Amino acid sequence: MTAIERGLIALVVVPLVGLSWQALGGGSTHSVGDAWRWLAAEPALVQSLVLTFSVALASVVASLYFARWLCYQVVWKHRNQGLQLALLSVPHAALALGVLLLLGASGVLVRLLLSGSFVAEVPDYLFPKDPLGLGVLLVLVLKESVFLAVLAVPLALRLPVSQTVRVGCESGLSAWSSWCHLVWPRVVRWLSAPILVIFAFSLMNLEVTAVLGPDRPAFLSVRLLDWLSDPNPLIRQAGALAMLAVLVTLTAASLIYVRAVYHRVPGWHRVYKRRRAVLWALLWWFLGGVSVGGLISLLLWSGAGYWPVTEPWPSFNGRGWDGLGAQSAVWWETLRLGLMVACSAIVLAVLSLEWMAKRRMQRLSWVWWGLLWMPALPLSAGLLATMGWIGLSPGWTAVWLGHLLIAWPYAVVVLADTWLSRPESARRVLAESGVNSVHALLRIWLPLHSPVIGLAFAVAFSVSASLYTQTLLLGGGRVETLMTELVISLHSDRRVASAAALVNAALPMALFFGVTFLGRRMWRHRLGMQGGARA
Amino acid sequence: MTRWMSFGVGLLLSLNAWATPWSQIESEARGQTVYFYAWGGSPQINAYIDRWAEKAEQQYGMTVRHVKVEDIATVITGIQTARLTGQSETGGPDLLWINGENFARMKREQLLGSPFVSELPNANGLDLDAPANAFDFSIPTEGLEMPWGRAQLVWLYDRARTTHPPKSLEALLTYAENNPGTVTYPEPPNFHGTTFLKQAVLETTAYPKWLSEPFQPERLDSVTENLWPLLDALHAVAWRQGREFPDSAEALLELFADGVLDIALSFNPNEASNRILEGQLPSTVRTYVHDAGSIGNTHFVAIPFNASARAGALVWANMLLSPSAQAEKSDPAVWGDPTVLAMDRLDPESRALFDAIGLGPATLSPEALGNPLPEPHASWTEPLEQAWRQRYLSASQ
Repeated sequence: MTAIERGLIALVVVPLVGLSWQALGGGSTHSVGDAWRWLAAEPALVQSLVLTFSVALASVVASLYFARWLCYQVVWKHRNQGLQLALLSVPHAALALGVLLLLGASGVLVRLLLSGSFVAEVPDYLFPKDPLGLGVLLVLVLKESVFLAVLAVPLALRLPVSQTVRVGCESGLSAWSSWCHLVWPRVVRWLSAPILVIFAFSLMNLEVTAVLGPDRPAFLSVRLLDWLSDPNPLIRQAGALAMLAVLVTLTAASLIYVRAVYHRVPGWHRVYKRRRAVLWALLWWFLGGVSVGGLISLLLWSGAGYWPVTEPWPSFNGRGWDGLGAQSAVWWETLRLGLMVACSAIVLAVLSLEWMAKRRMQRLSWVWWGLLWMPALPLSAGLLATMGWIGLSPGWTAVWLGHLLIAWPYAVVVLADTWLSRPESARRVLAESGVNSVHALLRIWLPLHSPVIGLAFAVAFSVSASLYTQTLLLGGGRVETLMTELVISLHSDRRVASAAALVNAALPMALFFGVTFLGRRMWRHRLGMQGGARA
Repeated sequence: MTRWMSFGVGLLLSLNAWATPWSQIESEARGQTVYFYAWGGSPQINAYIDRWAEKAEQQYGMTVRHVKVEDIATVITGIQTARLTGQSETGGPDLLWINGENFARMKREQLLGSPFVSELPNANGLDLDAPANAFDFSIPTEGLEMPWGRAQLVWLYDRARTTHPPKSLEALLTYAENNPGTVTYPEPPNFHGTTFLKQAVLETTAYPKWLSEPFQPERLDSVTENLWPLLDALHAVAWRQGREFPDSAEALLELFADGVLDIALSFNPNEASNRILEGQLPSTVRTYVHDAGSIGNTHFVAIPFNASARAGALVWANMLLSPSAQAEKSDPAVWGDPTVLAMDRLDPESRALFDAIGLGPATLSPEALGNPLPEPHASWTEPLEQAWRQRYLSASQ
């Protein structure tokens, strides 16, 4: 294990120390037994647990199926990945709010149906805040399938896809069936770390569950945040204890996956010779339609005045934009923080990858995924408890470091495949020519990898723009971003929340398309650099 | 007794004035940054605070940063940690917008600084002996928090849809039975949900006096014996059959604005007018209170023990209490939060500021609003919330 990896493990362990200190009674006069008893008396806790774990599991399985189709579209059908990147850049909370405003019982869709006399009155259905968490599942699948697909494409490109599919077709399988049975299982094996990351995220995210999750009872992450921020020390202690229990369960689930399920992935599939891709295409376009409809709903509500449910369109007075426009400092703070985090993450990622490349490391260690696997809530709560323990104050620097802790591994993950697969011959030529490593980095590797660096920069910015828990807890509430603005307005003013969500989605999206455009423009005379922006 | 209290407050005022001249506090405040932690969910309130923060910078050369929070209880956790780890003057709030059980907890756990209200020149406009200022949810304030505004529960209805609004909890149940799915309330422990619960308890209990006394567990069942059957019946005909509740009063108001609900509630008597003027509600919306009266309280600002800019916090609090700031705040077109200043203590020029503000289109006159019912003792809040959660959250299993 390298020094960097040991440092990363320490970064994961340190928050756990703070969390354990709190769980064992630090800052409270109560015993661990008291905290357990309090938890045991909490109403509907079992229901919360079942809901949380089943939605997390379902979202991972469904995302894998959609990622399989998306990856097929890019690798085999050579479809453009632009829409996927656009969806990837939309923060979870913004998309969740859009879905709420679109599909809610008095949402935009119902308003259109009512005004067209397709339904007589406002239907009384519990969606998206349904007790089964289907609304949460929908948004998680939308986001995580794209995330998996973006990571799966370069992995699939390592394989001899054309030959494999051709062999499948000669054996009587369709191209899609060949992809499903011969190519995808091998890709999934390499995706085990991202799969565990999205499982952990689905389990503990607040961004989606707080918006679309049911209230009675709420998802575990929502309840954990309430407990961990309660002024009653006993409840805080119980929250820390519950958080540790969840982490232990998550670790056990991850080990079971790696040891047992992972080795059986290819065996899951029964061979369907004429498996049809059209079902997945339809389902995906339905999900895509929901996303676009959600963004349109945000746009409508951000400018809406009075809008009774029987009217298909609102009267516009732009109040949401007035409210957000007055907060220009929040816009700048989001930009400043995002750019600082992205710049630092890229510098750190390039330095760490260069260090690995020098040591001829070909693959990324699992430790890099460890930080992404660690759910935001325990990571932030643990860091906060540790900061309190050693007497540090929350603030901008703590937020920047908290964001960097997530954005840095993301940047490494995006860059690693390209960086670590340098041809040996190139190394040899550079060494024989007497080019020193700094010179090689600045004059050769950075320009060569610039398209993917641009993408990693956009990903790091997008990560910063979408982080809520870290910003709230580590900033002590003093650091305001569009995401905190969105969450504060979420339950009080849907117009301002919609405007904040739109801008929060537009900034990273613009950056994604900006770096892609710049990459193409910079290298327009170099054919080999045209498609390099794939992660 | 009242005379003695007035004498005491007067004495404190003069002693403080002697101890630290206000001009010295103002010069200390110059250059300081005051972190004002306050609920940030309303663009109108945020804009009001920002406007006065700008004035504070111009007049006193200090910076006021409004730290927007969703629930002030979460901020108290940080102050507790600071107390626990012996930190002072680092990273915490300088002034907090609080009341009720949060104040009770901060006072009990000694998280507040020394009494400060008597130090403020604008406190002359306050009637500090009035129960609304001297007590917060039955807990003596003792100058540890400054009254900032008043709240009283009002109900909203649309004249175009509802001709006879229900003016009691029983009438609300009957209304819901006749119009299923059109009535609900925010989910406790949300602040407004808990307020609804307290109003319901006050209207239904046979032991109202017990509610003004500190909580005793053996009294809970007796106090709530009429409440639960009524809520059970209400939930059966409520919006989504009581399987879901809005997260907040604002979410409730949005459902009301959509036309999904017929009745909404607010803790600000001017909120309906404000929303009509903002173009969020139709002009036919009006407010009313229940025949038994409606719960009311005062909201305050307080300085925690570890404030790093105490002088700045004092100057900022004094600004918020000035007649011009209070008058602007009570204007329905701005925020509509009723003033805490006593009109008979103001000079004619300051009184004129308030006289110039008209009642909003949906605001009740003081006579129609009536005297507010006092909040139950702060110690009742958590047991009531817990009992509600045990009953209705467990039922969903």
